[in-house]
Amino acid sequence: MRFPIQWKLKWAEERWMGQLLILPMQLLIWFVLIIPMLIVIYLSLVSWQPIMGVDWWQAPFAGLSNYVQAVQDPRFLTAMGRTIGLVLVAVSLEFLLGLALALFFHQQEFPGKRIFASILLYPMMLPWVVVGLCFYLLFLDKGPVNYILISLFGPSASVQWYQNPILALMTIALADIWQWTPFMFLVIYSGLGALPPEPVEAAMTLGANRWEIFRYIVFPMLKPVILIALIIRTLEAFKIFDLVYIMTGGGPGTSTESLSLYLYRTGFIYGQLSYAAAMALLVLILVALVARLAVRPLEREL
Amino acid sequence: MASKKKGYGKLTRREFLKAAGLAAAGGLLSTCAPAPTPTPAAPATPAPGTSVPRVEGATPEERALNGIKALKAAGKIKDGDTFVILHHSGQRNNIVPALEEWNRLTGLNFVSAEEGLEANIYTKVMNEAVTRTGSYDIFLTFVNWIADMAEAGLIVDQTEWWEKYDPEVDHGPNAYVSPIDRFTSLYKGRRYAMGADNDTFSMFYRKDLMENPDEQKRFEDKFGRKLEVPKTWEEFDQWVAFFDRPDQGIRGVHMYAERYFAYTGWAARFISRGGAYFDDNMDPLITSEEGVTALEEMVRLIQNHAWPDAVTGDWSVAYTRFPEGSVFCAWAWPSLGKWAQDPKTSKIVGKVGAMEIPGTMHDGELIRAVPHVVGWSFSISRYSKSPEACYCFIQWFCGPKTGLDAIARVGTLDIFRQPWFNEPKMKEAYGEEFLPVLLANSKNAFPDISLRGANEYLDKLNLHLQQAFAGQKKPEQALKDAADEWQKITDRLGRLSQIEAWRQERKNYPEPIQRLWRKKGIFKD
Repeated sequence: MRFPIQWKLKWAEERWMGQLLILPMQLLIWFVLIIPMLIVIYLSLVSWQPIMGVDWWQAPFAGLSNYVQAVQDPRFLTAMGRTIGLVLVAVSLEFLLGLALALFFHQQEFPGKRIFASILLYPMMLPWVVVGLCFYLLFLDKGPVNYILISLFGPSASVQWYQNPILALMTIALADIWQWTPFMFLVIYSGLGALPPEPVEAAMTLGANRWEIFRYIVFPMLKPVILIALIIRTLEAFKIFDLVYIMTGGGPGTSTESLSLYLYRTGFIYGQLSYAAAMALLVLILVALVARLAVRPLEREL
Repeated sequence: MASKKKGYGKLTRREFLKAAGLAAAGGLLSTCAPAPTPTPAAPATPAPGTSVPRVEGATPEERALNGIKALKAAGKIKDGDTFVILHHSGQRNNIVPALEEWNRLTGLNFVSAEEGLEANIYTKVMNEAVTRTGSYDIFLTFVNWIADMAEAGLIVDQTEWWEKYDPEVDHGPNAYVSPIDRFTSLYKGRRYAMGADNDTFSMFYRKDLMENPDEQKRFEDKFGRKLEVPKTWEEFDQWVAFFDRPDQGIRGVHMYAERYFAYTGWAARFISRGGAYFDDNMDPLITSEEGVTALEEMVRLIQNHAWPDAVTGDWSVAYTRFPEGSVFCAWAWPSLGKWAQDPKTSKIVGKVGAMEIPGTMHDGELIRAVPHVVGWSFSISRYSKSPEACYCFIQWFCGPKTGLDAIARVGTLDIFRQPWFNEPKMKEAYGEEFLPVLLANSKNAFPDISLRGANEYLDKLNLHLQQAFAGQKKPEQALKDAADEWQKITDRLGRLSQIEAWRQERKNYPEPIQRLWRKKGIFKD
């Protein structure tokens, strides 16, 4: 079968124009995402520090030794456990508080509701560093929190927040919860606003009480929104760095060190870029697995 | 439709992605391949051992300016050439006015590139070592990063230029205070940098309380000796305990026990007792009796006589605690004295005394060891368009006359040339009473660990010391853990090279300390 020449020209034009249009984006993705990723993988398989005086492409091959070292490194494993714990506590509380606030704002009408809703979002708009510094000052030995405690209960009530690892972690979690509960509130509140009113009205007509309506009607319909909010927050919280860096520096010792802070120290303070690359890839695999597991119920829902 | 799609798909999206990816990877690899790598500038300095013709000029500044003239005459540089200096923003006031003067004198264009966070300077320096862009010509960095920069191949050896231009650092009436002249510039016996700072610690105390007759009587009654500034650490601990009055809102001392400088107080005691960080095979000696006892003493002092933020705060705590009058004495960099005497920042103006750091008695001889913490040195990028022109600038900037003006301006660089301690300008800047104390402390100053990987050695040490101060570890265990970490670092970086560096580095310690080491048999030479 022979096509007229005009058709052939049109086909060729379309083909090349299409490729041309996506080329810049493809190149961008390669240069900012895929090639750096390949370099990180390469670095994780060699033994290299800039201070060794050897170029990175000439570094001796180390096989999987960086990975083996990481899984045997108590500081890495402890930092991972600590970060997971911090994420579980902070994100759970952020979710519960966000949900409670969203339900309250959704169900109640009161003067200035819109203004209050806007004010609630402000912490989320602040840079991490500002939040970290504010909370650091709040819990200082001579800070406002201790001032209040001493005023109420006497000098012995003063607490050394940053000296005790558990308390220090609590202050970090508190700062995170303060900053990110509004995000949960915003997402869930938007989700509630988008729910169809009919099922709730029908349940009310049939005599369901508030709890039953929430448990059997609202919550199931809200599940996809909640899952998305939880996934975003979990992935974000897993990378926690600024708050820890500013509030405790990971101390005392390493007792509040998060994964990101340890990776930063290993890569940029100790200059062990190969080892940091291996640890970063292990974390990436872990986070990807968690994200995959978290998304699975969402896929079923959708 | 299907056939059309297949026809169109002679180059499917997947194939296209693959092709684009390969092209991009090829492009990147071609930029990464060794061939086009910028070749390090050929050493501008003559080979070691050859005699170097001296540059004419009566002063270091004059010789530096003559050097620029000669480089111009040889066509190596020309008017308007731009050179970039990477430095910390706290040094703006020291450096920028000097740059204007230098540019006016030479016709060159030296510009300042500031960085606000010290740790970021290290990151930028290491990035430059890897990427070799030549973005920076001169680095003003922590003294103990010189080894990392030299080993990374980033900075040039200045030794021959020191001979050629004679910066009058280690000899003559304008010399730096020894041993600062050595440890701010030397690595493996070669001059890789030029010191531009003096970060020797000093101890400041409440003079008003010391001069109070009631306090003097009470002290004498309690200890059976006059109330005087302590000379030994043992006396110091009693002195601090005596003035520790938490019920009056004043604790005995602020010494760093936090995440970044916890080593300072421990190291001063440890080294004055005759301790050394390593033996000649780079096996750590910090778990020795000297190390453990020093840490036990420090832990007792911090836990019993300091505010908790000595452990949990940062370097700035000394700069709030002491000037507000909530501690009897504190130690820090020389600038703490200025802060405590400034009515804008202090409630104790006119009540501040400064003292020599205490030491340990050894057979009737008092050995003091004063930590020189951080400190800034100039080094020159191998990838600079004219490393020698950069050298001329740093010699000019650190010169006896230019440096005096630059350092007297308020900034984070402090006095380092010996004759400056008698200059009215410096007496005005630091206070007449404090300068002799700083000079005495500087003569007993010992460097931070300055080996390759110094950041990691110090950070790992701090980490464990802070845990001891926080009561999470016994002192002995903390030091053992730090020593284990140090062994791993040494093995990873290459023990032989580290041994070579350490054997040179220990020669930069003050002579009384080296004498004590020899006496105790720690080192033979």
